[in-house]
Amino acid sequence: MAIDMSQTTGVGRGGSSEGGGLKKGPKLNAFTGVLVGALGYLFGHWMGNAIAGGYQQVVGSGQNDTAILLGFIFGTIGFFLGLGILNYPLQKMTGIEPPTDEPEQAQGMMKYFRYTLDNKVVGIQYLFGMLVYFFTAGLLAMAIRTQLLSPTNHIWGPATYLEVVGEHGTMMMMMMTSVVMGPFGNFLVPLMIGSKRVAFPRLEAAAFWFTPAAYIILLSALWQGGFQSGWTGYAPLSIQQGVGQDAYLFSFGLLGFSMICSALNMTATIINYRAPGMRWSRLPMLAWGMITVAFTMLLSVPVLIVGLYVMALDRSAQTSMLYAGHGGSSFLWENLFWFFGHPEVYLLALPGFGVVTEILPVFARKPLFAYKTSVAGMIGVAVLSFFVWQHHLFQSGMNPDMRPLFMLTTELISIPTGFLYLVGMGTMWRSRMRFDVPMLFVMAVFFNFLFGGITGVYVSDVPINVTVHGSYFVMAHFHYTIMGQLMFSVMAAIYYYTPLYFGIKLSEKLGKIHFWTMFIAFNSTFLPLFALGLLGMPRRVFEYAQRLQHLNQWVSVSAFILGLSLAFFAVTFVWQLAVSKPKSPPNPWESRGLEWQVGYPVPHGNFAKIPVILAGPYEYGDPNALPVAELSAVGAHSASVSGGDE
Amino acid sequence: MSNAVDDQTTVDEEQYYHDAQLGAIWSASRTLIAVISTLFGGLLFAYFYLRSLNSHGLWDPNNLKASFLMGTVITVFVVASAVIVQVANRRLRKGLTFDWQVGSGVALGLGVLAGLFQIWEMTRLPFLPGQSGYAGIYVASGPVYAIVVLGSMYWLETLLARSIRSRKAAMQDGGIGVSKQPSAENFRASLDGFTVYWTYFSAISIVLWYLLYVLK
Repeated sequence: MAIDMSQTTGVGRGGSSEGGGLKKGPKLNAFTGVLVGALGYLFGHWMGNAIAGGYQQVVGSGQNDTAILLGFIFGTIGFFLGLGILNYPLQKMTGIEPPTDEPEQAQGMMKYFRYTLDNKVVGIQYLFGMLVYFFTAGLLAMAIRTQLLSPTNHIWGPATYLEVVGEHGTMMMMMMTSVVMGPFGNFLVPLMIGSKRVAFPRLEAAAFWFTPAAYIILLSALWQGGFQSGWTGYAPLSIQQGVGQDAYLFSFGLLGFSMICSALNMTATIINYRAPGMRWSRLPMLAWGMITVAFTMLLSVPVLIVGLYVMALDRSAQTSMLYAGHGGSSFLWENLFWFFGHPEVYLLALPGFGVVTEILPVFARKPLFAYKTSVAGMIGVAVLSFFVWQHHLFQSGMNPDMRPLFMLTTELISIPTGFLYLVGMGTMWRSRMRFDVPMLFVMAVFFNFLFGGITGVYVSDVPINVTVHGSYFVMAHFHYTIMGQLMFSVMAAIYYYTPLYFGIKLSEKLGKIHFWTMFIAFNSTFLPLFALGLLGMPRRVFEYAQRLQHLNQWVSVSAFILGLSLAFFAVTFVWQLAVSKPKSPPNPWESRGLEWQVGYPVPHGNFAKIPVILAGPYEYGDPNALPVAELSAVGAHSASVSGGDE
Repeated sequence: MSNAVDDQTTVDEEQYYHDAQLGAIWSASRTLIAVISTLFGGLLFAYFYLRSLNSHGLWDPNNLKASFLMGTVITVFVVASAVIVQVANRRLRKGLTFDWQVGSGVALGLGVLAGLFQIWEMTRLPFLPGQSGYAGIYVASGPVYAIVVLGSMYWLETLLARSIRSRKAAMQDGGIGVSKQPSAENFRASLDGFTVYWTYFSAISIVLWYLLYVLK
């Protein structure tokens, strides 16, 4: 087969900047964005004071939520204006159709601080953004555990403690884990499906730039009194809070828009931009993970946005939708929030499973066990995740007759989740595994998820739920599923894909030090929390019973070691990226994945020509397997791996 | 699409990505319908939740509703706009570009007026935002409705502007409604996506009109 190479000016190539918008792009960057955003905030704040400054409620309380919210709105618009994101929609209004690609940008750090249409640059922007959000939230976790070293001696008062807890939870759940599709989906999916571009590059790029805006606004809550309602933002506490709550709801809303934009692009790309021969049955598991997550986001996030909007109106326009006393109900928020919130928990898990099922066959050197079952597991989890949200309301006064139904649906979801687990076990069975650092993290994912998953079945049962609700038992459960599964998956992906992203191979020795310290410290931190929960320690308290001090101290010290392990990773990662730069051979893991066949650096436009897919990506150990694709490698260190290399 | 080209020996890259882009526009417009559905689904959930709960009998104790007349006018404008877009689209497919431009201009005007009337309506409410459960839901729904309508009109405006700008180029082979040029096909894909979406939204408008202005 051959591809017609005569088209040199086709879609996907750097065409002329018809609209001219991109010509002006390089002058705009994150710094001009922040500058214009700050001006926008001032304008919005002024406008809010002009509109609502005289309202009785504002005069009486001295708190003008309208001014704060309008400040955030205009600040974000200004930020986008300063970045150049709004050039395109404004050009469209004049009938100009700007090009869908941009010329290759000059090398250098500045491209990472710009609004760019290069999916690989956007992926790296997301990667570092996600790590910044993760480490910020991690520092807040250290602060929590410092406070809990003693049951009676305090560093902060209870309100400040709750601020820190709320900020930690929101930063982790909203900022860090919700963007997990970004670093891997944007960079890898086009490469994996054999596409030279994504469907909507501007949407993809804009999706990223929502996140730093949300991060700054969320952090600003710390010096605005915080939000004691925690990341779940339960009413009526969230309605009675100071302006820190406005930062919570607005930043969460921005993340919602980011998720929708990102998911729209991801679904359209995977459905329509697959290379010839990339059938659904050959689609890499990571791409399956991304498309199931994208659909879940598209159907759940708008409901969250409605919930946040309702909260904003109750706080600023004095509606009473979340006040029972005026015809509203605080349970309305719980329903709206958890209709998003519980699919959210699974949309964190699915990319993690996508990563591990992608990596596992490479190191097991055998095909992925039961590919179709794995896909069914992902789809099953995504669909069922919409029918479980009421289990968060078991204790909140829901109709008792509804409890068995939601108990059943929650237990049912363990079946497709179990598929994914068994696929992992089946792939490892009788394989010749290589225990490189990414594989160690993958194995840790399965170990950790065993605790998180099994305790999940327990807490879905109404009698146990009633017993352990609001305790450290539940906290241990979700930390095992989210950090134990997702964060270990992310680490596996970082170690695995660094050669493709940056052309360097992270040190195995340093990586193994990081892995073992993180793995042991993680389990040492969170396993005792099950015991603490069963012994009666409730969440979100800064004082606790004296008899629980030893366990708490053990947990705190373990958490500090976990923090040190992650700090060790951060330092060694940056050091190797920026200073020592250990060169990687092309395709160091001998992967069959299409993404590895283009070499490093991945060329602008990903492929010289559209590849023709000939076989699936997991046919390891089969001497008769065809190469995964027909393509000409164009990178400086192009790799050539054919099927049946073992 | 991928399977269909599997056995071909040659792939025209430009055509391949052109087809992919058309498919992406189709996917995105239908996905947008799902997003809009869940967005208004969340608001409708709030409506039915508070209405059925009728906490302290305060769902709507004095039966104070927003203006029926204004609500009807807004809804009629949106529905009329959707119908006109449908008709104009069909005229465009017959090569009647000018008919499309006039029709879409009228539809745009009606849509913009509907959005502006909705905003104006928010300043003339016979109740305070916190007076009842209904009041809260109305105050929440109105701005969302106005933003979605005006946002949709932005989409229509870009299509109209594009058809005017590319009029001469596409005229060579029958106008933008029938031209085989990739840019014309791209335009029609976007227009089809908008037409389906806007028709669907007009159905949502009727549901909202009944719940917010008619139902006691």
